[in-house]
Amino acid sequence: MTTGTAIQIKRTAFYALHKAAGARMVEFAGWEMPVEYSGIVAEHMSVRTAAGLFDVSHMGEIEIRGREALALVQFVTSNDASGLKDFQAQYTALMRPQGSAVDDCVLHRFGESHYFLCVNAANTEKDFAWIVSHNHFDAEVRDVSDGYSQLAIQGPRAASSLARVTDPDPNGLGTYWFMRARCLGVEGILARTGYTGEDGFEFYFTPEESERLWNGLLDAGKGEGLVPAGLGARNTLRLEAGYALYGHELDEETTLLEANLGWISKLEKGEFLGREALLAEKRGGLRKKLVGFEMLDRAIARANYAVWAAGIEVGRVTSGSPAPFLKKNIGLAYVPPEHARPGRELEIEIRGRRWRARQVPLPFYKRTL
Amino acid sequence: MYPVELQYTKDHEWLRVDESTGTIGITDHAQKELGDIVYVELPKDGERMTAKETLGSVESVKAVSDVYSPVSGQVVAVNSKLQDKPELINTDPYGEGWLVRLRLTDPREAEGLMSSEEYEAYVQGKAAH
Repeated sequence: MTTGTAIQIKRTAFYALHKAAGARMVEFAGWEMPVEYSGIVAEHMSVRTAAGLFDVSHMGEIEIRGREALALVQFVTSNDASGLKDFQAQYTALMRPQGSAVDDCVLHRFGESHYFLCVNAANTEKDFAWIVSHNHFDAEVRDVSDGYSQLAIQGPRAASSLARVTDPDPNGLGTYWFMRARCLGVEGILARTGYTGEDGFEFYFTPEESERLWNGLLDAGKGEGLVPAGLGARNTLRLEAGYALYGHELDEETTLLEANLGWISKLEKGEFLGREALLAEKRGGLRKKLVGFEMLDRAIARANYAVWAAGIEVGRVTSGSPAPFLKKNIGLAYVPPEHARPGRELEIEIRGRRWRARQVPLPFYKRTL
Repeated sequence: MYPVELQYTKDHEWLRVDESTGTIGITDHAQKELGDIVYVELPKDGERMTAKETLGSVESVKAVSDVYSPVSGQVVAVNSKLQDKPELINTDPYGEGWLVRLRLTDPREAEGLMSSEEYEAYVQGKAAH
């Protein structure tokens, strides 16, 4: 028994629909979320071969508006937002001066004075407070998370499923672009983004319309093989695609360069939080590097297991799981740069025994167009 | 809903006592909570198990879960089919999905385990919290 304020577990507007669909619910990032419906493997395969519908309403949304909105965005994030066109999005990180990430997120530009950030559920309040504390600009920051439900429709049949009930036609939307759209008559923001390694969309809309959208989308996608998918499959899908998960591959102790996120670290764009640290690290070398590996033995690596190389413990697994599509046991780990090389073997310590693994290039899975 | 001829632990293992041997598996409730089981680690023939100590582990896509021996004894058989078909634990937890068979050190040890009725009440009680 602990004293103090009890933490209220939150539910999305889809809670009753998940229960009715037979979901097994778990607590995740302060939310009661569906981890699986028919089973993680089946849902994972549906997303790789057809389409899956995910409730991702736990994700946070933060709006940045005002005359100097772009200047604030440029200062607190690592990617270069200055080249974004209206209705274009980019993957970026909210930065600390140490070169590590407060969070990783997707930035959407409505216009020069209006940006919209989709952030990790567990970090929403932290991110909001962080941006506000660095807002020395003529800009207004608002946490608008309560105003949005979010559904992700992911997979090779996502576009055709959505197209039946969405206007304008989502097929016209480029990857990492978004638009205002009506889906089943509900107005919202439709972005061609996702976290599965497949083509797909994310739709932001008012929570009051959640039931209509959930049922309507499953109905519209029935012929395309669209099924509800939970956070379990979302995690195995992102791992196969080699995407970082905050709290695993990313935290406040890990720099973007260590996490292979040099591609969103635009050091030449001008001053931003963490730039000096990243420049220094670039000159001085990395302390650790994120690598992918597959198990050569049958055992399964999991987060926090020790990693060994040449007889010494050199690092930790950050994510590990069976990969349902690749049919291998895969994982991500941090090791010293001198041990990081595809093809080189590592050992993963699992319940007191060391099992062989081989480093492989990332991502593990890349969809064929 | 849980077979009456079996006995149960709070860690969701079941035990079927047959004179001096005991067969061990995990319950239907446990397999449902775990989801798709993809890997099983079991002891070897001849190994000695102590009641309440780790007997092996069962892994789903999502997580790994230790299995504890409900009673003490020596392993006389392991279910080798699970090497290639761990999903038998999902499809038939009390039959083809059994894990190991022990020669019991002391059959009276099983007296401390739960009946199917008690186990059902235990699972429902947990769900209510």
